[in-house]
Amino acid sequence: MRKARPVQDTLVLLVTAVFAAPLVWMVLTAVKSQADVYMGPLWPRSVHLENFRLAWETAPFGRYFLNSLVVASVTTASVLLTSILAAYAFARLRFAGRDWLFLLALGTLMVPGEVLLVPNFVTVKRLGWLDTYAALVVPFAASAFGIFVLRQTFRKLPVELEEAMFVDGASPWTVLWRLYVPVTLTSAAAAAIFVFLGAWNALVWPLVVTGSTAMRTVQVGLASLIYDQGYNLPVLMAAATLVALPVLLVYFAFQRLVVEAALQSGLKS
Amino acid sequence: MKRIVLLVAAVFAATMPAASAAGPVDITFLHAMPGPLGQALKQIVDGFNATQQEVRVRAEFAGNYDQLLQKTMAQLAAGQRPDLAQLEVSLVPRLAAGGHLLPLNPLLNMGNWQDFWPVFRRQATLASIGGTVWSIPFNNSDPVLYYNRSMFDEARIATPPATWDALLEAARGLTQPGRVTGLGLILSDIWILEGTIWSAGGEVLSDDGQHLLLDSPEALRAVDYWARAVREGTARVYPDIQSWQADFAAGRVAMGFGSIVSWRFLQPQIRFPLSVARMPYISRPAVPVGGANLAIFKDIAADQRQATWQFVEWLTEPAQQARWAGLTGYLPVRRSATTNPQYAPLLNLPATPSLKVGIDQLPFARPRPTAPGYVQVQVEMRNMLEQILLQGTDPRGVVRQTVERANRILAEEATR
Repeated sequence: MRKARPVQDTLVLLVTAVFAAPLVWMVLTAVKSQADVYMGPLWPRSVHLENFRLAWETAPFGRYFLNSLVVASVTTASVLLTSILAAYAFARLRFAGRDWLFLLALGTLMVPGEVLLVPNFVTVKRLGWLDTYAALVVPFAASAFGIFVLRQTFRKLPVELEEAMFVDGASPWTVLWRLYVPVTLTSAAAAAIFVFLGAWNALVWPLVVTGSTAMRTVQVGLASLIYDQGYNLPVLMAAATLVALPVLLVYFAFQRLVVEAALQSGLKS
Repeated sequence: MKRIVLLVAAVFAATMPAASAAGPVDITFLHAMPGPLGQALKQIVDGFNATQQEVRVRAEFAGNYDQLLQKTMAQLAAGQRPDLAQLEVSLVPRLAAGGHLLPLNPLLNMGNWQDFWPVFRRQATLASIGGTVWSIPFNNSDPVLYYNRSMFDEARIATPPATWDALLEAARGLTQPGRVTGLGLILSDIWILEGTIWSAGGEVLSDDGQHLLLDSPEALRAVDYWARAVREGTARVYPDIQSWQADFAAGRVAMGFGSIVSWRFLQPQIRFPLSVARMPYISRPAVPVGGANLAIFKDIAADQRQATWQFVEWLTEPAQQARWAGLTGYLPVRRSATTNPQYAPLLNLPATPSLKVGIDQLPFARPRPTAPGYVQVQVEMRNMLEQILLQGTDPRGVVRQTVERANRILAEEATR
């Protein structure tokens, strides 16, 4: 048992409440009637589950969910793969211009997405990828953020471990997958959460490169519920709840991984 | 209508194909109509696709007006373009000046061009860019005064205020300190300020679009009305439409301005009887008209061009206009859509009282300014309102600074 720390615990609870409040409000609003949003009590007087049905019917959300799931999962897997390979190269391999190349990769973090919109669109169009999954995934399949996070973690690992494996006849490939990847799952999971979230929340890029309903994503569906002159807030919140759900699930799945990995590494030392 | 098709065909005769190939011509229509408005648009487009065999319109939702512009700009850079796009009116001049749009002057020769409300004819014809028609008025609205009927009854106000003096008087009667504020003013609603200035006899922009005219005595008089209401505590300032709508629905503010289209979004959120009235004026009635127009892109294939024309002509027919207005609450652009009784069932005015008021105001309506730099100038105007209304700064100095900054922006944009 850990010692009770009333001040810290209160602070943690307070911060949690601040972050959870919008989510709680979202779910509560999602089951209210429109007339109860601004006039009624905070706790719904009656539950209006039809808001979820209305939200679902406003846009072809079934297809949108499938697309977002495919795009976000494949993007996350691609980023992890490319980041692990690049991070190992930048952390351990010796080659001319390595640190300059790493800086160059980092530099891409400074370029805002808006600037890349047009050149990326032109490239994707020339490749004939408009309105395909490739257009939604490939431009984001590598990430300087992922490379940076993993490179830092890889470098913290004692070189002696790697050298011992080399003495035993292991190839760099084996060393990477048997040694580096297993002990750095924590960082990989953290990076994965961010990448998945980014892909899931993307709106402008999917709007620009896709045109058909078959290729559009959940955020496009959400956008079709918002209008500057007003909207049906409960239905919008019902849709937002549905769209947020997979992200929360992914977060909890990876969070367990993060915690477990942290615990394991603690036991080893 | 046939006559118009022929006319248009004649104009583009040089690039016309000898005969149309087998199968319908597909055209892409980028639009920014979400939710129920998007469903209404789909209904209209489906109607067109069902009535004829030659053209098939594919309506594509492209997000809001800004996102639609981003998509269009990316497409243009890649040598691709939509056939037809719904452009917010302030975006039209920039694309027209960039040479991306097809001039639509044949529209001027259309027999029924005179049937378009004058405000829409003016809106479509950009004096600053060659006096040419660059877009076709489509989903436009004007602002109205929304008010809480119960609060009016309680305060014994029998008729909605027609003038700004009456409005401030009503706001005083409706305000209950700490509980209810009479009037809500929205910082992002620059068009309301435009209307107030016009109604005082002032102008917002000079005819050449190069000068902001907010420092005229008339315009300052309009700004003073806003400042006075806030100073008195009978008006409250809101950052955006949504925050005002929330307070209005909760009964914390009794009146406010909004687009006629807001009625359908506002009405289900409230428990009190919602009422709507014409925009109050200072010395003469004047209302702005804003929204989006349809633009055809230059350099699209001749088949597509003709097909797009055919769709656009059909869309501007009074019957279609009445149906579109009835489904969405937007203004019909054709006069006969409102005057010819055969369209009354389509228009369905009893369902949307705001539409009736919006149409009644059309004789006093003016298009919103559309100089290429005006998008940025509106940001300056918003900052100006913030300083005057929220920080209580004396209007004269702030207005002068805003005019100086705006004129620089307008001059820069005009020479680009």
